[in-house]
Amino acid sequence: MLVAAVVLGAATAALAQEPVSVTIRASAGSVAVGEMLRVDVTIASSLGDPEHVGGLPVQGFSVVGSVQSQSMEFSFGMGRSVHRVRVVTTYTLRADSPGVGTIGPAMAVVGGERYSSGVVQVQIRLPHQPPAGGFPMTVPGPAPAPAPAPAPACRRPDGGLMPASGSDGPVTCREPQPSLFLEASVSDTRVYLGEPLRFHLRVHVERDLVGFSAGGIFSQVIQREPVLEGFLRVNLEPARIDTGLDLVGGRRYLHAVVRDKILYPTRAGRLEIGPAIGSLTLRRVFDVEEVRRESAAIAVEVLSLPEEGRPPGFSPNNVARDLRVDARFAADAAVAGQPIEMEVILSGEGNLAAFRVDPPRFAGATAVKSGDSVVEPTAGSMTSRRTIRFAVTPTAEGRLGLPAFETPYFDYGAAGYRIARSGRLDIAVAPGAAPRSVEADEPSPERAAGTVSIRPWNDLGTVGRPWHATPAFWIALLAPAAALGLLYAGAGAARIVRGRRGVVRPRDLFRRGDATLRRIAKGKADGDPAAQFAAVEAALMDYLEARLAAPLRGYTSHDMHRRLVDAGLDASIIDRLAVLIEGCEFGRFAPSENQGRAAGDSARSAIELLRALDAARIEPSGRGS
Amino acid sequence: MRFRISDFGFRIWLPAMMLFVFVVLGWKDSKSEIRNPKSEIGSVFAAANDELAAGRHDGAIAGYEALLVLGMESPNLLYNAAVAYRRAGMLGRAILALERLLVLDPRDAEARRFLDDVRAQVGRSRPRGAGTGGLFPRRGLLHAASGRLREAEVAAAAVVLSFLTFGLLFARRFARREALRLGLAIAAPVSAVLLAVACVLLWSKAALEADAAEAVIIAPVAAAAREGPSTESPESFRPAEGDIVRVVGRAGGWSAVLDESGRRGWVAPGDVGEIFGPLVIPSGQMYGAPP
Repeated sequence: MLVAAVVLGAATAALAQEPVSVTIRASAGSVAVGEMLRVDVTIASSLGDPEHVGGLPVQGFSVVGSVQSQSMEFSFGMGRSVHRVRVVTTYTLRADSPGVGTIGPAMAVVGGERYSSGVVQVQIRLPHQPPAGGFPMTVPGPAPAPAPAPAPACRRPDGGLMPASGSDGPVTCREPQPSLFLEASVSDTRVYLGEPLRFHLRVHVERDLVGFSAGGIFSQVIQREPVLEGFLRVNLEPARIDTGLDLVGGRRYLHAVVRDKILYPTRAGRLEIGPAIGSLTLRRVFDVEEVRRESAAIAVEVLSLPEEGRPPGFSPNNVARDLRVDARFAADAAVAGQPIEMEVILSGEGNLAAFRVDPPRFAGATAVKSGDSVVEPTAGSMTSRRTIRFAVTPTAEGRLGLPAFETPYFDYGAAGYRIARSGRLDIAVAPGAAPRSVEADEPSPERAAGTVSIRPWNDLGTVGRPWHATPAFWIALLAPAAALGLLYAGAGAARIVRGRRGVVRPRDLFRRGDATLRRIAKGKADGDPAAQFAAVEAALMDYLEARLAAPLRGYTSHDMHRRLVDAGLDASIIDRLAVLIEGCEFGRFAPSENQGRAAGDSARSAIELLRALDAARIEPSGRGS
Repeated sequence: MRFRISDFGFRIWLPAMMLFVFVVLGWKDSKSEIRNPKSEIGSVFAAANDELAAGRHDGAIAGYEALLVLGMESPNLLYNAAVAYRRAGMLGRAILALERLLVLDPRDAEARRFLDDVRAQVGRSRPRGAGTGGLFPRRGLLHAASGRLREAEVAAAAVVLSFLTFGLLFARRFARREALRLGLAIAAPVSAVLLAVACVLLWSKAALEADAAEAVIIAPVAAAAREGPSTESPESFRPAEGDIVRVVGRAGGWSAVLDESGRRGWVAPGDVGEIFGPLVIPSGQMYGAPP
């Protein structure tokens, strides 16, 4: 009952939507002059495709580009179906002048009616001016699509409810259902750009449904991976699946983490970790049922890096926590003109693989990058390690040094910019050959970028023989052809043997007669029309005599009729036969201008009659009543 | 009264049969657990993965190669081996592992992207003017058409279409209704054409790929291609790591190769790895093996 009410409510809600809505949504409420702003104009229509989509009026911005996409939704309820078209035009705007920029209204024409959106206002500030806290977007008219409230299945890890908006901190989304359900969780729902967050997808399967291969079930249950658009990811799936047992709603479930990832948001705004789909096939003795479940989508608010304190030329890739830098030369002494390797080791939490690390600037030496390798975080440790090697070529003898190797970064733990420094670098340079020019120093290839994750699942096995190399395959491939060939060959041989013994079967005569009649019907038969009429008559009589196992030719029409009635043949067929034979005899002996066409007509009638005779039950002579 | 299968005690003997099969299989499994080193092989794979995750590429490569020498070859093993090779800077071997992976699973998009990435890395690392044409195999249209299909899929399709085609012809022989005969007369040639296409694709998989004899130069430093199969023969050219070549002859472990520009030479054992056919890792070329 409750389920029916929920379904009815959902259907009513779907049908109660506005038939056409035009909404504008900006990715930020405040931008600096020269910055880009993303604006989505969404036209949702259940009255068909928009006939016209107007441009986007903007003040204070200029349109850099736009992309349009279209999708369709179908829903059913209340005895009718709803077909909804959604056209999303994504504009990229550049802020031109400080003040309050206005975007909209967007306009669309659907079904001859004109629909328009509200207007969005965005604060445009001067460069390097910090954004005003929480500048509201003024949206008169129809409101833009609000950020969806967290799914009711999502809660704090301690079971506390999530706030309707502006949530922060870890969240776990689960909606217990029978047989199977998925649980998605993230370590934080509000992060800075580039700040890592941990995503877990846990599968719960009822204990009674798991047989002897729990690992196999858990490794294959996910049918669609969660959509992680806007995130870089590092996969941390364990090499082995560890299962646990818990009691949910009075049912015992085995659960295991099947996806474990570190996600790095790549753009500010609201990102969504899309739902994953899992399915389980329940095999019973006489039927098979497939259970499909979907995990909840989780919204993550990604904050831009603050302007305050940002070093000039700062790369937004340099986001980490507790970053440590260690730098050293690979040797104790150098020779002028000869490259020496310098190693810089970064360690800390964050996407160190994406860090921009500039070569050190030495007075009296050139430095180019010669190697780079990354040790990714593991399930047990979120700390990454990156080793960068530079080839440093001193140009003159003396001492070569640097107070420290420095890397600016944004520390998301402290919410501020920091500079990671190594210890002092110093090395003696002996006189050597003439220094090489900077142009001659080709950078070595970047070895081992190492951003690809490993596959922990064990699918080991030996490669079997290919199908085409097995006799069974060729037997299976050729067996049908051979069987058909044998069938034809056997039938042909049997016909020859019967011919030699003088045995004629009705089936053989049927085929022969059918072929003769077809030739005549198509006008391809040899001989004059009289001969064709004779062939039509002969085809029918030969077959009938074979079926009756007694001669029919030479009898009067009356006697033939009586014999056929005695053989149990239907009266209507006998009448048709008599008419056709009379027609043939008439045609043979009464020439006319269109005799050729008449023979063809007779042949067509004879084909139908021959089939009717073939389908009819005829008692051979002497056994009829 | 309708016939019911349960009337014959189906519900009794079916579970009994299942129980019997379980007992037999369970007994066989328990025996194979003792004699079969499958669990040990799995633990080698897991240990190699752990090594790789911890950044110890050498240990990971040693583990993966030990499995490959045992004849184990699977998509995940080759993928992880490629990751380890790449991180260790052995890009030619990474390309070879990924090419072999794509033979096993041609629709592994992730591996395909990874292969492109590794090739791009090899291309970037080459000096200006060295050329990158040799990195990309030149394959024909037929090869490309069957490239995304597994051999087993094409072979299964051919068998099914063979049964369908000749089954339709068989049915037509006994069909009496004219409409049915006409339908069968149309369906049988269509099915025969599909069967012919499947056979051509199978021939492409079975013969063309093998005849192409593609191989990857895996020597980390440019291997020397010589005029004869010995180290005393003069050097004819130097194929670069990661280049695709054709193996056109073999002698005493040496391979005669043709590069993309048509140059021919003999390369030493272990400098080249074949994409199709059995994977051979000479013991002296295994990672960490004594020189």
